[in-house]
Amino acid sequence: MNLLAYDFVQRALLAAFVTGLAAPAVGTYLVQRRQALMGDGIGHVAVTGVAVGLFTGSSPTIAAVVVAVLAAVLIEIVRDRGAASGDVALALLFYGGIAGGVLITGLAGQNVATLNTYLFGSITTVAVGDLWVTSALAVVVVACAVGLAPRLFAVTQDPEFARVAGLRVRAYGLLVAVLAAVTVTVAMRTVGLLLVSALMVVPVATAQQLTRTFRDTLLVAMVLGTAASVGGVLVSTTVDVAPGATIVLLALAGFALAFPVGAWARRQRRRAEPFQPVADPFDLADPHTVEEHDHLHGPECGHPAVLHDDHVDYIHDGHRHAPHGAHYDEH
Amino acid sequence: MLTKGSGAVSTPSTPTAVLAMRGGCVELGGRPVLRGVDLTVTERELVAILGANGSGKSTLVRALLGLLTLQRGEVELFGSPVGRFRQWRRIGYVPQRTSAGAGVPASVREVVATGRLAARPPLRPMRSSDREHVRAAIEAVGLTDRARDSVASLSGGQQQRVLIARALAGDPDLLVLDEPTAGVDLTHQEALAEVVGRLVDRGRTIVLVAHDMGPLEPLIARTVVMRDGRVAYDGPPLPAFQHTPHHHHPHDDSRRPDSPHRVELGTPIDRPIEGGRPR
Ligand SMILES: Nc1ncnc2c1ncn2[C@@H]1O[C@H](COP(=O)(O)OP(=O)(O)OP(=O)(O)O)[C@@H](O)[C@H]1O
Ligand SMILES: [Mg+2]
Ligand SMILES: [Zn+2]
Ligand SMILES: [Zn+2]
Ligand SMILES: [Zn+2]
Ligand SMILES: [Zn+2]
Repeated sequence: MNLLAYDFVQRALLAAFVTGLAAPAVGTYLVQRRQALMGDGIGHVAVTGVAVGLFTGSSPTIAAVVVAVLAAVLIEIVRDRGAASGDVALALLFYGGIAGGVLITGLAGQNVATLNTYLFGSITTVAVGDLWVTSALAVVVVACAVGLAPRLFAVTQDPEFARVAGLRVRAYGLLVAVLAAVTVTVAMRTVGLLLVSALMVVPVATAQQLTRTFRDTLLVAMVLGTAASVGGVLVSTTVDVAPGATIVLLALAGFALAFPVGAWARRQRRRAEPFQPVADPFDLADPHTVEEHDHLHGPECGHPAVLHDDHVDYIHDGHRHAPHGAHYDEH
Repeated sequence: MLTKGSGAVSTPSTPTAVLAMRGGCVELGGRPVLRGVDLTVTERELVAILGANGSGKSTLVRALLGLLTLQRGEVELFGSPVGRFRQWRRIGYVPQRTSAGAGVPASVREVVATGRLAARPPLRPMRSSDREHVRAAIEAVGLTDRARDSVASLSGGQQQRVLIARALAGDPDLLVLDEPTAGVDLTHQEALAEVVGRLVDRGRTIVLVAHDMGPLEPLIARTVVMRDGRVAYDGPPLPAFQHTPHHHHPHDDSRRPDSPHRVELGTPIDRPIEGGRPR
């Protein structure tokens, strides 16, 4: 049998290829910002977008892009405000998104199977029009993630420093959020909305086991993501399961292989480190600062007290400590 | 637009103000942290900002750099209000120990290279002059042999030196350092003092927050002491601020371990008191 000769398989493989490149590229910045689950949240909200598309009879892809971008911008604003209740607000948004999606799909008279193809991917339903939209969006995402890498890296690595370097931190933060939203919709037909986050995060986690630089992590993650994505679609053409499952399981298998290698390499590196000399804890010339005292010395504090001329010294951590007014002396 | 180096017109008689805060008030979490601070730093000055923990040193520095908005008062950088300031390439900043590592591994060179971004147009690769500045900055903090290693694998003091190198890489006219030597060993503090000395010689301006001047002490001609969000002192260094654990007792002339005054437990005048209770 030659499944590759089928048009729909070729379309699915192309979609998997661009998804595999784009998802880890954006995922690297999300991991850097410690927002590994952001893709998951946007994916949930995008379900509503898909449902709106089905309901109105317009393109579910376009509707999902619009809703996902709106959600991502909202998430970024909440994050930027640093509001304490932000976490809960996001949870409400995510669950509202998926519940609303299921409801609207029902109202649209579509059965759950239709929605499932968006939730877990489907290789048989990638239409030609969808493919062009998806590929164009993926190219934009990869171009931004790689082309702007130095700036995006600086902004996500240390936002305060980036601001003093004159970078528009807020604008770049919004850009990362929008790129994440677009990636979610790009990945919708291959891994599906509920598993897209795995393709954004797992290849990055795998790459980290093997790399020491940000650039290498980004590139290795993109290679691993593409391999998992294309491989997963190929597997799902032979066994009849949703490609989302096979793609994510392949990516996880990659992690399972890389983790012991990384752990071994880290141990080797640590062994190669020269032995760090320890400062002599009894060297009185060591600077001794007020913060090192968690209590006021006194009769009850348990430190040995020594009468010294007209006052009392307390002995702790190798020195003699003499309270004197609001500060202390050392004798 | 003014370009780097040309600065504003400066004549020897009226030195240009590089940093100026007038009546600066900042609130954090609903609490006043800076209360009416006036501070002007002129070209070629090296100013040390001192004060207890929580006295507002970092807040002052962050407000001066436009990272915090003032409730009242105003800040000018190189003569323009901070909101309209655009020549960020003229400023280098070493924030107070934020961990240099983050979620994804990054090499020392990558982190230091972000110090060149202000001088680089977007979407343009590093030029050879950028690379040279990065190399020199890494060398200045003595991390050349670790340049390709992940920052997360370095010790705390080494990570602090990465942050210093990042600020040096931009070759700034104004260098703002918030406790740059915290956790840095004496050898590398001396190396930093040498670098700072060279920058001062080349006419750069330096604002330094520190608890312990260490080897930088001889370079410092002006100290600003913060207390409870106010400037408590502004002038030449006072002896009291130079030696933090200071001495009032006539018997205490030295706290060095080899000092003859250092008495051991059990000598007649220093007998331990039973139960730790003074009599
Ligand atoms: N984000 C914040 N929200 C509320 N209060 C804050 C915040 N940041 C700092 N403060 C308060 O502002 C005061 C001054 O803080 P600041 O960091 O400027 O002190 P500092 O002089 O730099 O101290 P240190 O020597 O420890 O670095 C402190 O009392 C601190 O509790
Ligand atoms: Mg501080
Ligand atoms: Zn005690
Ligand atoms: Zn003590
Ligand atoms: Zn004493
Ligand atoms: Zn005293």
